[in-house]
Amino acid sequence: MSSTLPLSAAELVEQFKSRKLKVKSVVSDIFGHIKASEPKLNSFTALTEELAYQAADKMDAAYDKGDALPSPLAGVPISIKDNINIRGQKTTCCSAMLKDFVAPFDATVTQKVLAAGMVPVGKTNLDEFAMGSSTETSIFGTSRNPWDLARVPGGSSGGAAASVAAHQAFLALGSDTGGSIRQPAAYCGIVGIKPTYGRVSRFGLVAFASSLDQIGPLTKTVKDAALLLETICGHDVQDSTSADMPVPQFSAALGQDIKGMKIAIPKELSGDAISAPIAESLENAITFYKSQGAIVEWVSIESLKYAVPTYYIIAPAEASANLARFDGVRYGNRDRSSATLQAMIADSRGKGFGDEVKRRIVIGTYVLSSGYYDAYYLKAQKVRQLIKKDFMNLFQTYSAILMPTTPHPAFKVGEKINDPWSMYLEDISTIPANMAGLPALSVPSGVTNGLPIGLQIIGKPFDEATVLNLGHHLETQFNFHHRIPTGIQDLLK
Amino acid sequence: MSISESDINRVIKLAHLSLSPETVSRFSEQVGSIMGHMAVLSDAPIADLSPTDPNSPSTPVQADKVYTGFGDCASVNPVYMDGPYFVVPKIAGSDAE
Amino acid sequence: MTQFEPVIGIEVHAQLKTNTKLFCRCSTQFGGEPNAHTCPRCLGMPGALPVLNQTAVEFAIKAGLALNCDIQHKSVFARKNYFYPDLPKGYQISQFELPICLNGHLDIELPDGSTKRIGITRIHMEEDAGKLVHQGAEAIAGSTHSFVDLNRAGVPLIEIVSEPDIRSAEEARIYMETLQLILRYVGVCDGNLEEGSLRADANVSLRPVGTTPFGTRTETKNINSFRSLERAINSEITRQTALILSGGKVIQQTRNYHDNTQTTTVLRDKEDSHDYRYFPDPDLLPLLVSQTQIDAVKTTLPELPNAQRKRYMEQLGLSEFEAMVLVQDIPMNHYFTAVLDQNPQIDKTELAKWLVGDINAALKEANKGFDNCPIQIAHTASLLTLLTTGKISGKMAKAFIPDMIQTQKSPDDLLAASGGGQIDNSDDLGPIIDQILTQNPDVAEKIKAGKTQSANFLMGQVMKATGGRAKPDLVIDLILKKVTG
Repeated sequence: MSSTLPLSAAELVEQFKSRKLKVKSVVSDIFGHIKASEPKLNSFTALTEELAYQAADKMDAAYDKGDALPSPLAGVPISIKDNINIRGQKTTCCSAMLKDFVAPFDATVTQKVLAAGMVPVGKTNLDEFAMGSSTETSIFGTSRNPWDLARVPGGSSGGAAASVAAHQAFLALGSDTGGSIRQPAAYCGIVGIKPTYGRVSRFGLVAFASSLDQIGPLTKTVKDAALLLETICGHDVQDSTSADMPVPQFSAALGQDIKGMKIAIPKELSGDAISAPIAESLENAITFYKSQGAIVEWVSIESLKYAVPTYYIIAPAEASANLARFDGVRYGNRDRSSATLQAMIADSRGKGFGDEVKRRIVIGTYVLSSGYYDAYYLKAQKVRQLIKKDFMNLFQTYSAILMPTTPHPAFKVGEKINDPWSMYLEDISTIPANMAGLPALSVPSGVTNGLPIGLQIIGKPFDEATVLNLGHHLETQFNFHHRIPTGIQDLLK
Repeated sequence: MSISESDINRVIKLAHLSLSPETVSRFSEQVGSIMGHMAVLSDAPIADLSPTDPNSPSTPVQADKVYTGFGDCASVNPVYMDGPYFVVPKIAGSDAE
Repeated sequence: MTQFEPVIGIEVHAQLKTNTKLFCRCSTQFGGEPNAHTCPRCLGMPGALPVLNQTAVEFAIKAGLALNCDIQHKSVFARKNYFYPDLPKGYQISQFELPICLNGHLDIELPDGSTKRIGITRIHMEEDAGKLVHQGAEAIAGSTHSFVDLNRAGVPLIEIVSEPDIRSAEEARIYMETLQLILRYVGVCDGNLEEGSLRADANVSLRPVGTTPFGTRTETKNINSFRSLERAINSEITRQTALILSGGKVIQQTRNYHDNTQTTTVLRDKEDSHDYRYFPDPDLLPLLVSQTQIDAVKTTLPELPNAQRKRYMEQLGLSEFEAMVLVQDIPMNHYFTAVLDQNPQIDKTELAKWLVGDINAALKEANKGFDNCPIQIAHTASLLTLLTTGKISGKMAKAFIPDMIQTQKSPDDLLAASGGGQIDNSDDLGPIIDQILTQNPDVAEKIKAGKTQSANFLMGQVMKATGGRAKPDLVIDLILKKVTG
């Protein structure tokens, strides 16, 4: 197999420009590699070969003629999480409910990615309706971690992370509600960023928890993440929560001096709260940033302990309403044996949703129901404001917050599936950024027992530039991105 | 903390969700245990906090102009249609609005 | 025996007259192929998100101002969660805790001439549901399956909730009529009860006369005319009274009114009332409205019906009847105003008289109305000018009107075609009258003998001979002069 696949997206584009590589040949290589590696990885739910070759021909023509290219990522193969609409393709959300659902319109991000000349290679696997941390709740089965095929790639954007880590795609679009981009990025040794809430349009993303969901890039390098983020950001009238804020050129800020920059480390997510190798990796990062002239200080964010319970009230509450549209009337799974409307709806949903989704619908309905609203939902919304306030107070002093992305490296398939709360606790350090709507980046920061680990950098609202710059500095310490994961080394030399 | 099966049954009726008795009993335990972890929120210092962001911008508005760019969406994923209509089975009882 | 006093509150759903739906830009047009006016948003497709309609917000503010409400600087859209096939998202987007308008009132005029103030608790915005067409039977009961048409799903509504200030079915009807007129006046709602663009639910309870605590109330739905509003409330008052007197207790429930039997039946008890699980819709931010925006809407608010009727009577000198007809007939009123605007010198009382009387009648005869009126405004103005300057008689004017409707000719053209204007001098009329008298010697004799009414017969003959152009009072004068003279 071609040795071009482990390149970063930015490196690949240089090859396209010099015409040492044709888009079409890379696309053909990548489909060859995908087909060879899918039996091991199961990253994809569907491939979009026709769309890919169409885009490839168009971009080759543009590169041949030296035309103005639509973007700095023209011709780069990208995978798209299967909860983001591509018009005319299935959007399954990895649920029996939507297994045959064809999207009647493009998501705004899809439009932007296609207009930028990127090449969509396929839709990637996720936990059903993005509810999970492992892809184990997908009806298409679990995706595998390319570094250890017995382990999960993380989730819910597990297929997306695996596809980039295993060089089945140069870029991926995922979505992050409580860590669904950053946690799998950390588990798979790649870069993932959840932008500020409102940065990227949610139009065409199947909603899980509307006030928390954000679409973002999963990439091999921070530079690639910056380039992809520049492309998909921006105000969108189709999404009322989309922010009308200028979009800086994030890639231009990479490498800027961080001397004197103040970085906070929360005590609550260090020491005994996390595994030893991750604590060690955090210490290394602190030493590194100090060596670059940054001022790194330990702080306390007491409200962090409320983040997971708060999240598991608000997210299921919103989900219980967002998933109410799946009633078997207009599309989706319909139980045809039911004699009455009421039975048809309940049975279509009962059969169309998996266990984890049902559990969250039950929790969400419970916390909103009469007599429980104040004690759960209303209280959680207040605690959410508390968490937000605590972060904003820190940002009076600090430019960014550094913490582990996950408390542990990737776990084994089946290890946590029967213990929902322990699975939920894996999100402890990713959830706060969603609760406060802040931009958060995960970058590879080391390897332990052959498994990658990641560190997370959280920034001020709309200050993705600082977050990416800090990530870029750290990344140079590890230079992870050309590595071939151990699980697929036989396929890619 | 536990949530009784009758609570689960009340909730799944609201959520229009068929669950097997086995699942109801399992959820009663699991959801009860999950809700138990929420107790910590009672300690949160939230007395003077509002449940919404006081600095939220206004929801945007769009001009009142007909837009038809989506084409025919109703019949792209037909589950059960009769001509242009969606069809639902007999509506039981007095569930009508 | 205890005397009971009814305590009534009305909840009105008014469909806003926007071109497009509340959260998508699909047409709100009535009719059309089923499900043709739908898109991913109003079909509740995965990935679709709501975007608020600006005009709907302005209309809600307008209605609020017309009903003397405090317009809220911050209101919030919430999700009202319940399952029904006419509700595509499984929740209705509605305002719950923070509606756009609070604390208004509406003054109604009672038959005895007194005025009563009815409080308006709140007005909130929400989206309408779709339509179900039951198959195999007229209604749900007995039907085998149902068709779903989502053309109406997402159409903007405002819900206007009154205080329980209403004390009789008649007051309720007057409240509703007054409200309808105001909503039509400010142009935010068609106000058509039969077509459902205005819907009323009545909350009725009873309490012993002289006491203050409210009794248990019921909510009655399925009211689709002013008459059925009155009947539904009266039937509910009768039912509750009988129930209480026989030792029973009113149960809080939702009831359905049936026009054919003029009775209500139970739709659902409070125990199985829905638990709607309202919470703020995270797909929409709060709606913030500045004082500047409110003031801008205020400037577009027209004069309201009561004020206008008074002005018509006091300043323009219209009769109470004409003022009332004009105020209640909005297209006629617009036409009246347009003629006045373009012809400030015109005789206003004559204009009102002719619009309310002959022109209105002739339009009805021709199956036309004042909206898209076939008579140009300038033509009506010149008709009035010809009349008030004596160039034509009332009779001629009356004769012109159907022609003006049918051929859209100007009164001046019609006048020219009829051979000229009114004949109003004795030199021209004298010879004609002489001839008529010669032809009818017996009638002349009768007049001579004192039967002056017989002159009317001769005038008819003169009119015939002049094509209706003779000036009537002059003709009578001349006949009497010639016969007796």
